[in-house]
Amino acid sequence: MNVAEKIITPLLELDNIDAGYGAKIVVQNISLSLKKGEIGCLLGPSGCGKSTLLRAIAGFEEVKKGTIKLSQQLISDPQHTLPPEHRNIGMVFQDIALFPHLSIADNVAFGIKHLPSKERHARVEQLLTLVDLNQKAKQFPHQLSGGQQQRIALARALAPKPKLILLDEPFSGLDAKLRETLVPQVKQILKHEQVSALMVSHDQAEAFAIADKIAVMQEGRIHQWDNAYNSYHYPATKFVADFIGKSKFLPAVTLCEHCIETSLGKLESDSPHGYQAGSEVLVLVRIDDLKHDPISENFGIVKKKDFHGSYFTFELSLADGSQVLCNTPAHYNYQYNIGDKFNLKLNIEHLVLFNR
Amino acid sequence: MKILQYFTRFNWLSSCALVTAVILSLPILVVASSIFDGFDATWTHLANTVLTDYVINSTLLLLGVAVGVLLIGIPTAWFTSVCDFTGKKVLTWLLLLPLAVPAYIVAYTYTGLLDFAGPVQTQIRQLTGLNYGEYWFFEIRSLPGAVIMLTLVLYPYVYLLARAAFLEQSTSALEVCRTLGYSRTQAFFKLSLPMARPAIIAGLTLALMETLADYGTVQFFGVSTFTTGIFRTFYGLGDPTAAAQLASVLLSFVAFLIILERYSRRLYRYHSSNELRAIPALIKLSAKHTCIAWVICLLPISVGFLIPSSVLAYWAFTQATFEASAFFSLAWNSFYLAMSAAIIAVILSLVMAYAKRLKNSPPVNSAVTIASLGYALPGTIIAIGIIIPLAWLDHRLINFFADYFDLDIGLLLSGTLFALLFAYTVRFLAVSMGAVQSGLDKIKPSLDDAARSLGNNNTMVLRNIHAPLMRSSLLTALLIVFVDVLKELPATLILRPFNFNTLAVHAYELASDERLIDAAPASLMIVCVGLLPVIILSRSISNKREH
Repeated sequence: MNVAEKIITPLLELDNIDAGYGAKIVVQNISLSLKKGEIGCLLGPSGCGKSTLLRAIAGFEEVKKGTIKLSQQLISDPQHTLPPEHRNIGMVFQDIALFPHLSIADNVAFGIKHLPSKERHARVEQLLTLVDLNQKAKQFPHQLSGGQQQRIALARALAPKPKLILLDEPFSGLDAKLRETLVPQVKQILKHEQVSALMVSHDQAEAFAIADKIAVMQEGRIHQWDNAYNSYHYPATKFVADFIGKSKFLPAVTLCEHCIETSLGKLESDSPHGYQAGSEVLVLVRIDDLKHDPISENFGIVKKKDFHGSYFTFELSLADGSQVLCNTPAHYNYQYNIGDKFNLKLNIEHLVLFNR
Repeated sequence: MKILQYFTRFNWLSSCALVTAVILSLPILVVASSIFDGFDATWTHLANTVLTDYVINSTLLLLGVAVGVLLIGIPTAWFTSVCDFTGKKVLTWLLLLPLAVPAYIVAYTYTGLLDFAGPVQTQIRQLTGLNYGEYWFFEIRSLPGAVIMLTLVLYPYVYLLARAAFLEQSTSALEVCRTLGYSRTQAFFKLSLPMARPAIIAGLTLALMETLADYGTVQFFGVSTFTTGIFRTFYGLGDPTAAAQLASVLLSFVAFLIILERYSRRLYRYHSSNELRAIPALIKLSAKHTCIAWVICLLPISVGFLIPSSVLAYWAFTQATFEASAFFSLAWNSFYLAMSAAIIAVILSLVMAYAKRLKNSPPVNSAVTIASLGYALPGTIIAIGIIIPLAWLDHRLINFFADYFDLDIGLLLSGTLFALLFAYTVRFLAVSMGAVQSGLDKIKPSLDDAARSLGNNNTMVLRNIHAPLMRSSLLTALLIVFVDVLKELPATLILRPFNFNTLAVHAYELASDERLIDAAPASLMIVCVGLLPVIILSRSISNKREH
C-alpha cells in the first residue's frame, strides 16, 4: 500500500445499510465514507433518522442490512454488532451526559482508567487545557455552565484517542450566542486532535461552519453527500435545494441545452443543463440570485417585507402567481410597501433545474 | 406472527417482573373473587346486624379524618411555604414528626393520659373534689376520639403535598392575579388553592387509605369498622369466606380512593407549571402574625408528637415493668423480620425497575402498576387474601405427603414467617419501588451510552455509574420499608406464627390488657426507629428549597 492509497482509504465506511429500533426500519440504503481527519455532518429535519444512523455507527443499534467498517475492520453487519465499548469511537450526547457523581477531572479520565496514573493525569491536564477549563478540574458537572459542560463532554470523548468522534446535536441545548462561539472552538479542537468526526445537526449554519462534508437526509435516506459549496450550488435533489439556503422554484421551459425561458425572462447557463429543449422544468432561484433593479422591466408585487437590521427581505409575487425572495441592503429605507410594484433582475450563472 | 416475535424478544428480567406481579396480585384476586363464593348464613347475619354499622362508622371516620387533615395540613403548608417568619425552618421539619408515630400508639398514649384512671382526670378530681359521674370529660375511646387520633398522625400527608404544590406555583400567575385587582387573600382562595387542589386531594387520599387500613386505633376504641369487622368474622365467627367478602366491600372503598388519587395526580401534571420560576417573594409576617403562625403550627406538632412521645418516654423510663431479655428478643424479632422484608422488597423493586428501563413494554408496565397497588390495600385485606390460599395449599401438601410418603410435615406456608414476609412485600413493595424508580430515573440513558462509548461493558456500567448513583435511593427504600414493617399491626396479628411476637404486637397485647404504661417501652422503640425516615424526608424537602 503506498502513501497515496493510505490517504484515500476511508476511515469510516457505510455500505448500503438499513437500521432502526426494534422491528422498525428508520434509515435505508445508506452509503457514505469519511476520510481520516475529516469532519462530516448528517443534516436534516427532525425525524429524518440522522440520530438513528449515528447510534448504529456507535454500536447502540444493530444494522438490518449492509456493513459498517472502521479502518477497514468490520464492526457491524446484520449478524454481528461489535459492542460500543470495543469500537474505539467517542461520542458526545445531546444532553451532555456528564457523570454527576464524578469531578470534572474524573469525568475526563473515565475512559482512560487503564492508563498508568501519571500518563492519565497528563492526558487529562492536556485535554482540560485544550478546552480551556483547567481551573475547573476539581469541580463537579452541576457547577459548570452549559457551554463548559459541553466542552468537558468533548474532552471526555477525546481522552481515549478514538479514531472517530460522534456528536449528536451537541449544540442544540445551548443558546444562540453561545453556539456561535462554541462551534468554531469545537472545530478547532477536533482539527487539533486530528480526529475524524461525524456530527448530527438540523441547523444548516452549524453544519456549514464545522463540516468538511455534509449528508443531507430526509425520511431515512441520504440525498447528497458532498461539501458545503456543492450542496449549496449543485444540489442533487429538489429537497436539498429547498432545505439548504433560502430559495424558491420558478416554472420554466427549456429552449436549448443551455437556456430556459421563465416569467422573468430568458436565462442562460454556463454549462449544459441536461434537459431536452421544450421540457417543462422548475428552476431554483436563490435569494441571492435576485437583485433590486429600478430600470428592469420585470417586477413582482410585494407580499411581505421583513427588516433584519442590515438588510430587508422581500417576498414577491410574480405575474404567473409564483413567489420569489429578494434581499436588499438596508442602509437606505426602500420605500416599497405591501402591494407595491418591485422591479427586479434575475442573475443566475449556473442553472439548477428539476422536473416539474 | 407478530405476537410470537413479541414473546421471543422478552428477556428474563421482564419475565421475573411479570411473575412477581402475578404472585403479588394473588391476595387481592382471592378477596375480590370471594363475592362469587355465594353468601352463606354468616354473611346474611352480618348483613342484617352489623354491616350497616361498619359502613356508617367507616364513612364517618373517613369524613372526620378528611376534615381534620385538611384543616391542619393546608394552613401549616401555607405558612411554611409562602410566608417568611422567625423559626419557619424549624417548624417546617417539626411538622413532619407525627409521621413517625403509628396511630394506635398515639391512641394508647392518650387513653393512658385521659381516661378515668389517667393522671389528667385524677388531677381534676383531686382539685375539684368531684367524683365519678359528677363532671363531664371528653370520652377518648369513641368515634370522635379515633378521628382525632388518626388526624394527628395523618395530616403530614396533606401538609407535604400541599406545601410542595404551593412552592411550585408560579409567582407570575399570582402577580397576574394581583394586577387584575385581587387582594392577596382573594388570590389565595381564587388561585393558589384551586391550583394546589390536585396535590391536596392526592395527599388526602393517602391519608384516607391509611384511615381505612387502621385496625389498632378503632379496635382499641371499640369503634366497629370494616377492619374490626373482618377480624371479628375471621376469629370470632371462624368464617374466612365471610371475612373475605367483608374485605371485598372494603376493597371497593379502597378502589374508589385509588381512582381518585390517580385522577388527581394526573391533573397535577397539568396544574403544575414547567416554566422557570423566579424565587417567590415571600410574605413577611409581622410579630403578631408570627405568633399566630407559631400557634397554628405548634399545636399539631405538640399534640401529635411532642406530648405523646414525652409521655411514652416518661412511662418507659419510670413506671413500666420492663424485662430486658424478653424485650430484646421482641426487638430482635421485629428487626430481622423488618430487615428481611426490606431486602426482599428492594430486590424485587430493582427487578421491576430495571425490567421497565430495559424493556418499556405494555406488559411490563402493567406488571409494575399491579405490583404497586398494594400500598392502598389495608393489611387486613392482604392478610385474609394470603391466609385463605396458603391454608388451602398447606392442606393439599399435608395430605399429599401423608398419602405418598407417610410424613407429617405440618404447616409449611400459612402460620410461618413466609406468610408474613409475603404480606409485607405486597403491602410495601410500592414504597420501595417509588424510591428505587426515582433513583433510577435520575440516571439518564445517555449516561449508560456515554460510559459504553468510553469502553465500559454492561457490568462495568452497573458498577461505575449505577451503583454509586443509586446507593442513596436504595438505602432510603430499605429504610422506609423497614420502618413500615416495624409499625405494621393487623397483617402481623393475623399471619404471625403461633407465639411469635414483635414490638407492635406486644404493644397491642399489653394495651388490650389495659397495661398501657407497660406498653410504653415497645411503643417508644417503634417511634424512635420511625423517626429515621422522617429525618431523611425533612432533609430532602429542605434541600429542594435551596435549588
